Amino acid sequence: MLKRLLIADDHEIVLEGIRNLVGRSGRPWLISGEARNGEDAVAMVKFLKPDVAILDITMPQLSGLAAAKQISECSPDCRILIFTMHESGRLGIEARNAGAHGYIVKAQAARDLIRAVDALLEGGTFFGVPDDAAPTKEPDKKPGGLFYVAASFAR
Amino acid sequence: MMQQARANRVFQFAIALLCVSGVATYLSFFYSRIGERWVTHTQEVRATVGDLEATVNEAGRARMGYLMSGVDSELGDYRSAVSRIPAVLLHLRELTQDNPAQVDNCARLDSLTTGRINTWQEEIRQRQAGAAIDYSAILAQNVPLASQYAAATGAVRAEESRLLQIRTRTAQRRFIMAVATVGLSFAIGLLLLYLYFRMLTEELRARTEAQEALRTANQELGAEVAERRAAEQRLEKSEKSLRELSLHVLRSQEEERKRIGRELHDSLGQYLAMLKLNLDLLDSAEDQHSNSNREQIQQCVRLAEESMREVRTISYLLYPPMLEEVGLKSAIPWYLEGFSTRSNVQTSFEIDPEFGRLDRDVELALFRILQESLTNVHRHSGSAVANVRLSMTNGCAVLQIADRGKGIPDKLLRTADGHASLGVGVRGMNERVRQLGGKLEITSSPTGTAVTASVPANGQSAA
Repeated sequence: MLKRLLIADDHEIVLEGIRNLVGRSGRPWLISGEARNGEDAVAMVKFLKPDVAILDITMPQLSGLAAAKQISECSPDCRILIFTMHESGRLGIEARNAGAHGYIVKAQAARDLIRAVDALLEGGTFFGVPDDAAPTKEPDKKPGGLFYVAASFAR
Repeated sequence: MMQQARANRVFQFAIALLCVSGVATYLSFFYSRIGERWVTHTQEVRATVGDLEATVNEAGRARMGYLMSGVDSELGDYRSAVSRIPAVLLHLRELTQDNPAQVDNCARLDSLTTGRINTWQEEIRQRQAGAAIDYSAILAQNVPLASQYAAATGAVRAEESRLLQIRTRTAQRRFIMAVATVGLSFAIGLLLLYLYFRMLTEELRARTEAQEALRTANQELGAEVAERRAAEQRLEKSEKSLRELSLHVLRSQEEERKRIGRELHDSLGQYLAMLKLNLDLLDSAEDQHSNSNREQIQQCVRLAEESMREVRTISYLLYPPMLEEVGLKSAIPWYLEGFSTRSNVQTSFEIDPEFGRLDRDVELALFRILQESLTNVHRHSGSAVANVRLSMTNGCAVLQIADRGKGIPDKLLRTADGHASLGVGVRGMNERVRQLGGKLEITSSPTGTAVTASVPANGQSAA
């Protein structure tokens, strides 16, 4: 079944990277929206109702953590994955407190992103530790194409 | 004050001389009165002698009258005259009793008087007896007696005159001396007073001059003081603006670091992350590469990772993001770990377990001080260890960095405004701390250095 993803980051290069990763992963995932700031992310989640929202932390208007909090309140069905540059145990705790279900660092994007989304889609959590590779779920590899629709609200 | 003593002495002398002249004046009056009295005395003696002569003559005449006429009234006159004589003689004796010559004269006069009276008494008795009067015999008897008598009284008079002369001369001499003394002492006294007056006016003039000079000097001093004060104020003002400027510079520096750190991290860092992502993906596409390609790709991956680490380190050194998020409690150990790795200096960290969050400015300032101190430890101290301690004392957050290195040379440490010559870094630390109302202390010995920064923590919040 096609799963819908929403990604939010203020850097285009990151969005491109995620697109790339998702495409190569062969998963039946659709990137239904790309937000450039926290407010847009919350609105898009409300509107598009994705299954997973991948949020950067440092974004203009509203930070990823604040957005996560709002999303977890008004769209509780959406699984939230924090995807950030910062490696900090403390931040991980704060992410959890804000309602996120996963926390991964961009330095290990290749290793962790797909696995984390897999885990979240199955209803689990993924709080990755930067330098060890202990995932909580083993993903299934499926062949397939890449579909995505980018709906970005220009601001 | 020699002048003062001399003037006083002069004045005292003047007064003394005036007193002397006063006394001399009195004496002069005294002596002149004595002179007068002697004259009076002499006159009285003369008068008394005259009196005596008159009375004796009266007695003589009365007896002659009786002798010639035999009338009883003449006898009565004679008797009354004779009765008066002793009193006069006594009076004369009293007047002249102080002079031996006169006493002799009086005694002679006395005996002569008695002799004459006896003679007359005899004559009268004869008459009374009815005998005939032999006038020539009487004359022959009485004339020598009378001339003797006159000689005696003359002697008394002469002696008295002589005495008077002597006495008046003495008195006069004394009087003159007294008057001379009066004149002289008064004149000298006046002179001395005048001298005293001159000395006083001289002193007064000198004093006034000195006062004037003092007043002028005071004015000049006042003007100089005012100028100095103005200069001091200008200095204060420029110090203040200098301090403000350095604070401003610090703040701009901080802002810039933050910006650069963030840019580096968020922008460049992300690019590197995504670069790594692509390389990872490239690496994991197993089927497509030869071994050498695969090796190269893996090298690229490693390079990307290294770059990311560098970027992270540099950006965190510039501006530690987690400082704002988690505070000194976690930021310091994180930093110390990196520092130990980079510098090979062993570090230790001690913190009060209840140490909570502080104001953002305070935490940043303390963090910067930590960075600066550790840089100095690494670069200059030669110490193998650095111990960091963070505690709360009396409402102040106290950060201490101690090493066991060779210390800071004494003359660098002891400078006028504290730490100026130790470098911009230390001055910066000092300024930061001061701006927050705290203080910075650096103590150093050849066995180690300790930097202690204490900042009041009014806005403390719980961890």
